[in-house]
Amino acid sequence: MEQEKLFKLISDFFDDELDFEFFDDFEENFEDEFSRCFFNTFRKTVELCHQICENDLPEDLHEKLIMRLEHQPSQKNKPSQRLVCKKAKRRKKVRNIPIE
Amino acid sequence: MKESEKILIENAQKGDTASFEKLIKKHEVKIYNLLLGMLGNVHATEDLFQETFITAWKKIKSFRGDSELSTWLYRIAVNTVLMKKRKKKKITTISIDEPIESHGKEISRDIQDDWSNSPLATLENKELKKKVFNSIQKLPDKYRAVLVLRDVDGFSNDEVKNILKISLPSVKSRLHRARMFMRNNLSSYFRTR
Repeated sequence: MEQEKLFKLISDFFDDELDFEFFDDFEENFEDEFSRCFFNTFRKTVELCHQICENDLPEDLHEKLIMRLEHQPSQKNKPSQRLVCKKAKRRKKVRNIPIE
Repeated sequence: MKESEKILIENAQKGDTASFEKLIKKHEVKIYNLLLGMLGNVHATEDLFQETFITAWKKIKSFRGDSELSTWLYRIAVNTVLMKKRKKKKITTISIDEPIESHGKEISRDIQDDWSNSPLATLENKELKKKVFNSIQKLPDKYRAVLVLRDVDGFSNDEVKNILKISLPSVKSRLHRARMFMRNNLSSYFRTR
């Protein structure tokens, strides 16, 4: 297969319109060493990424998260922010006391 | 979106932590693996995993259901990683335009051996597995996010576009460059075998 054609097909592959298997019929027809080598190593790289397995969640991570969430205010009530505002107001009042 | 998920979201938006926990259960493994793929470090992953869901909890009221909840969660996870990295600043990534060097000599990116049929070209080869993970970590952030979502987590280009809020041509070009970078890195591994 000519290089130009090969790259056009790879472009189709990026567009999700083509699967690597489509190339199986053409593999033997690659005109030059470069095209064959490029295609095979490119395909293998993608396959290796696909083979990365899903890891399980570490044992206590879910519990840790739930514990943190329980101490976390939701958007509805933001006591920590309100507390800061009150404190800030108090500080402001203190600062405004005239010096005699 | 399934009706049961809609109800859980509505309850969570009213502040019901039990409903939110059910939503976490549904998506936590995927989010954990996305973060692990992007960070390559279990400790950092655990931290950002918690941060992702805490941010989601804080923002759940603003979730309008325009996208799938999973898309929304993935976006929070990716943004959490990018923000953390931005704070750290010093990241040892290699530009994907940088020439590859071996034994002090620059190697042409294009002329490489065909290692695809090597018996070592499998993830059962722990050394190669490590190389694959390290290569992913060396990718610049924006390329890594696309590669992990597309080739590791198996999302379609369209889904990646929605998660990252970038255009489809950007998804394609970043994916292409990321894959080329990976291929070059793996080729350098096989060259030294």
